[in-house]
Amino acid sequence: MVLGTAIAFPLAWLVGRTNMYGRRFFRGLFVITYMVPPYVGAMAWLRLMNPNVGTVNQWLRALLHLGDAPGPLNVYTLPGMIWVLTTFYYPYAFITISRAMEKMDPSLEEAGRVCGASPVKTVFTITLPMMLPSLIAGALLVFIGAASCYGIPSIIGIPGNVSTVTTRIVEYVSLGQKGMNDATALSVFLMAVALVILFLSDVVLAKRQYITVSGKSVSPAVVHLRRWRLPVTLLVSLFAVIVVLMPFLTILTTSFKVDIGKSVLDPKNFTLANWTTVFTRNETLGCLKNSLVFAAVAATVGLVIACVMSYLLQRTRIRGRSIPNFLITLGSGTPSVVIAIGLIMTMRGNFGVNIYGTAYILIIAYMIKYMMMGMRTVVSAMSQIHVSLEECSQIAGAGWLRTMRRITGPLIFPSIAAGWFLIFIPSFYELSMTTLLYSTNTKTIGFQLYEYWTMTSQPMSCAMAFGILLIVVLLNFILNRLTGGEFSI
Amino acid sequence: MASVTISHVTKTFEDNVIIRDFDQVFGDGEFITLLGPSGCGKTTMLRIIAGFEKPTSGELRIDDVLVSGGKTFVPPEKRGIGMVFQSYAVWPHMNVFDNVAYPLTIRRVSKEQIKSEVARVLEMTHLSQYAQRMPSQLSGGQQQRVALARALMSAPKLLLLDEPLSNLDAKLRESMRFEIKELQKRTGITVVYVTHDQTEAMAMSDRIILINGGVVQQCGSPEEIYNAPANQFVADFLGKVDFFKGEARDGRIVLPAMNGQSIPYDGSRRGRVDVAVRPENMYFSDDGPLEGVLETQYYLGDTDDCRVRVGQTLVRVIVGGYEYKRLTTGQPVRIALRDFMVFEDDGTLESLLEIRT
Repeated sequence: MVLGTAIAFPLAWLVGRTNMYGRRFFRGLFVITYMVPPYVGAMAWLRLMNPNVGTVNQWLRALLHLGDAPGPLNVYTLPGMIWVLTTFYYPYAFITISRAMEKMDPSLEEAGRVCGASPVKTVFTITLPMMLPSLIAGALLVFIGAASCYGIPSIIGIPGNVSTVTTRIVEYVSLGQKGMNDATALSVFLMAVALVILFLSDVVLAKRQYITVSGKSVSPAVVHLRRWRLPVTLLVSLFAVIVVLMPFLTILTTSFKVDIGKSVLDPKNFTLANWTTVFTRNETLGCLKNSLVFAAVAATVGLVIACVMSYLLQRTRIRGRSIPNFLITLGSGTPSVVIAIGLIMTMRGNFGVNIYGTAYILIIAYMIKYMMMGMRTVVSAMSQIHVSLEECSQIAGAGWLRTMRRITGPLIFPSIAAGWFLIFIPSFYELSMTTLLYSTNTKTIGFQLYEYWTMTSQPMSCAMAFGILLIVVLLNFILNRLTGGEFSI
Repeated sequence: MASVTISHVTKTFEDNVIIRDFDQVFGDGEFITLLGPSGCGKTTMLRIIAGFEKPTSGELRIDDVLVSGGKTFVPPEKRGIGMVFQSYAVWPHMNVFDNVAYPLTIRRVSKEQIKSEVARVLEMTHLSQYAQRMPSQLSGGQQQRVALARALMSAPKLLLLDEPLSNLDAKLRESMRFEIKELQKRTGITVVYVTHDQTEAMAMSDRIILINGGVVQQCGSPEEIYNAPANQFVADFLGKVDFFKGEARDGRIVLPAMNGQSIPYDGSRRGRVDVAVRPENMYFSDDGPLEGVLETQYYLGDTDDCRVRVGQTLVRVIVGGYEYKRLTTGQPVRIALRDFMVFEDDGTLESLLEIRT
């Protein structure tokens, strides 16, 4: 968490406020990680930092003449896991902080300059303290994300004997009834932690009244880095290469390998067989279909609910209209594993409903976890449409339905589309909840990938991972186009 | 205190010329106002003086020290200036005391000295009882004074004000206007003030520089600018004015759009002219040269705002409020002119009107 934020703030500042080369490009690049399934990242880092055959380790050994002993880096350790978690969760903080930075009135910083503070001093005495609430909120987000993450610990931690709360919970569940009790206890603990954090970040954000929005259009002043411009750009590029490019490339190259120990450039070692095998197998295609259908249903139903909630919240004065909003927020803040446990406990017939092992339980789980993303976009879109636009339509003689269809609908359509994808994409590659809730008929692509990785072949799973990645990137691209670049994950 | 010498400063953004060849000297202790419609380049000029923008060409000196121009560029924090922003830019995470003390804190002045200095400045800006408040607990006017106090804290040679009163309500604006002017008189500081409000400019300035489209239209005292405008734009921007087309010949100006009636003229212009008359410089008199019919009148208490139909033209005449009782709508009246301005009709008036509509 600390590491993630420590990385995110300077990055957000450099990208948002300086004349570093290629700011837009880097911005896009750092946000991309946000939409990559965490377990894909974990797989990549395993390939890179495996103590024996990891690519980075091989390079380092060659460079430093360390001989053939394993190491020097070992991903199957706590620091290894922390590193991988950091590379995957810093975008949360990055996005929160960048947004706050864009909203800040630049004259606040200029006032500092006029008062005699150098640019660096201004950053420390004005920008940083003003960003503190967002900084803390970002950090807490990273913490919650990392603490409740299952994908990364399950792939790295289990072989390395580094357990986290989430992997333990899953382990206990597989032990049957006796284990279930322990699992529940741990879930309560995790939930409590998450609640405290949620509460804290709420308090911090509530104090944030001081994001001032000036009447003038805000064009953030750009800090000129002068002679630091090139070195800083290089440093950021290096970071981007290590954190974003290297893992992706590894996944891609591994997917073409026959023998994962050898180089992909060796023609004898290059094959497309992994790809063809994976994507022609009925099992995979079935899982892919499952994932697409579940995600689509979850997104559609979730979004309809989100729209109704937004309308209640923004346009009516019904008592308790903020309760659903609160519940939805709570759901998204709950660690996935806890949601899954909760669903197992309640939906297995104990209360007259038994949908355990069916597709419904997965869809419900996805909705609980991701509905908030869609809801937030729709709410913010609706809050930006002044009621007078609707009232004006009514004055002009249109009924409520017609007003919705002709005025409100078209105005918020981009947000609705965005909201749909924001629920769809994470549901599509979900792993943590699926692990606990799947049955043989409802395996999803994420879980299938996990099985391939642990039981079948790494190159094949890499092919699959890259396939998933391509689909996600494609979806994000569509989303971006559809909404005129206003939304993307 | 400081003088500012601006030599041939031009600023362009890509293909847009924001400021064209600005060439002025601001004297020591002068209150200078940059006045103009929004987008005329006045704020950009102020930001060039502050050091937030670099001029594309030209030089800027403060007290004969080159601060912008050629390869030289002195950053804002080393220019010894104070500035008040339109949005006040009072830091929301510090209380009033810390906001105001900031310039001294930066310079590592001793605690006791900071305390006494801040107390002095807060006293001057009537903020003493608010020292411990957070900015969110202050009204707009108070925040504005905090910004002013902070700007004065570093005892600047030069104070820059960027539309500091535009976010305040009318009453407060008026009283702040005089407070700022008093402060300037007391401290003798050089002030550059940016505004689009002509009354503000008239009330405070020693000299007004009127800018339009990045070009200085006129520079002079409020009295000069109001009574002897350099061109139609200046006449139109300051105060109320009506323009009439006419023809100057034989000691008179004939106004075709007023049924060919004419007014006496002893100036030097001949041929096609624009006559500019301020409504308050006309009055009703039985021996006035223009004959018309009173069409409407609006009673505003202190004045009576009338429209008189003269031929095809509607003429605005503002007379004292007490006239209201004497006049009835529809009655024939004669208009006399106390004063009017004559410009050559070179087409500038048309282009001016085109911009405004």
